[in-house]
Amino acid sequence: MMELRLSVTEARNRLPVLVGEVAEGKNQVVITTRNEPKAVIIGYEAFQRQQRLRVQGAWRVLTELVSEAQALLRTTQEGCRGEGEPDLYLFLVSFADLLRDIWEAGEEVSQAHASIASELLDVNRIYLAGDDRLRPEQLAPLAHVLTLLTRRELTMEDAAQADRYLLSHGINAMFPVQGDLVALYDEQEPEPA
Amino acid sequence: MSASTRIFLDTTVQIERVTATRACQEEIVRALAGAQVITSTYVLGEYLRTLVQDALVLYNLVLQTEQPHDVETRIAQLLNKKSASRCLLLWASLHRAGVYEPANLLRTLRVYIEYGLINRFMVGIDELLDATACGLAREHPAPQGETYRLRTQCTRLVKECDLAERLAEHRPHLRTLADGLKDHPDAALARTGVFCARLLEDPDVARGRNCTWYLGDLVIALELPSDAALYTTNRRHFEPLCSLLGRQIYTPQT
Repeated sequence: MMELRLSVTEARNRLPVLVGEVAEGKNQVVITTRNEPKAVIIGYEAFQRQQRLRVQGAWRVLTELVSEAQALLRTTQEGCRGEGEPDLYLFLVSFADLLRDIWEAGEEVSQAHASIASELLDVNRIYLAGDDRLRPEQLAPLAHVLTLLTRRELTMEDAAQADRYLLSHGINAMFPVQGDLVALYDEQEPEPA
Repeated sequence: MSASTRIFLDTTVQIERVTATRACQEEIVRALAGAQVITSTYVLGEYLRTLVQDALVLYNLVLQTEQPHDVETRIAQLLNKKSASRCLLLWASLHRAGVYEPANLLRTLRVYIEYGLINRFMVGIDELLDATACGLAREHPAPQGETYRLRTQCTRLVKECDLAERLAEHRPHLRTLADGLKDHPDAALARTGVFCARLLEDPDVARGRNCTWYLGDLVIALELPSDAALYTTNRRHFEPLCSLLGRQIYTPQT
């Protein structure tokens, strides 16, 4: 496959021919302005292939990051079983970095993965920035929602259900009021499948 | 409170239980504890064209503004002051969640818009009434370019609800309201009375009137089941309507 470098004017003048050539896989066209490459015209099939590879790559990264976050959660949960009041601040700081990366990878995988990661990211921010402190017993529902991200197929309803599930465990991911409002949602939300 | 107590949430309370202050939300929690909580698709339609639509407005403002504090200035400049006040409620929710940077504001707002706000509308609801089969309640924000689009207006020319049919079934109630409100000292309620008289002649005139609060309040008062109490923060408008219709307004115990 040849790479053609064309200015905007040249590409515009030859566009119908160029579209045919890139569709057949003969050429890739790089559009330049003042000799700087600015855009690429590629065939639709090649574009789809690249999209699939990008999603596959993001999925691999996402599952690795989720494993790392799950390990961090497990270690923290084990640490909480000891004596004394555990300070979960350091956990939240490390968890925040992982969740940021998980969200970025989730954005490439699907809207639902990004949304669930976003909920977890906001929960983390709320406990880092707000007056309320994360309680050890809230680590289990966080771990449960985190595990959802290892499912390849997720829908927006799964994301909504995750929000309700967290809420039913006293974790208000979206509209926090710095208080335990779980009584408002007194019917326990079933665990997301 | 006994489980047989039925409380109908109107749009104002639905908005408050999502975005209000802690004290206000706690009051709602206490009020609803143990009750059977109901609302309607008509209320959902109002909620979509107010709070959810305002989330879209806020999303656009954040998208168009370089500095987050300029968003507040832009909110203040909105022509629709009710919308501006709801935008501020959402803005406060974002800040309460520790979200300040533009990228994070957009990320969290996307979650609000795509499912968060609608999800919270339904949380804790035992029954969703659908007497009017409101077409706008079935709308959902749809991505459009880098922002979203939500249809919040309907037109009388396209029938997509059963509002007129339901109003026609309430002729005796409409007559009561027309007679009882026509000389009301509150001009807005007097206008509602005049509107009820028009509805008696032709219930179809109700269709496509999206922006009239007096129609919205009228529909909610009429669809309120006789065994349920209306929970609203807008007592001024609802009290005269409910009193004439023999419906109860819920007063939380303080």
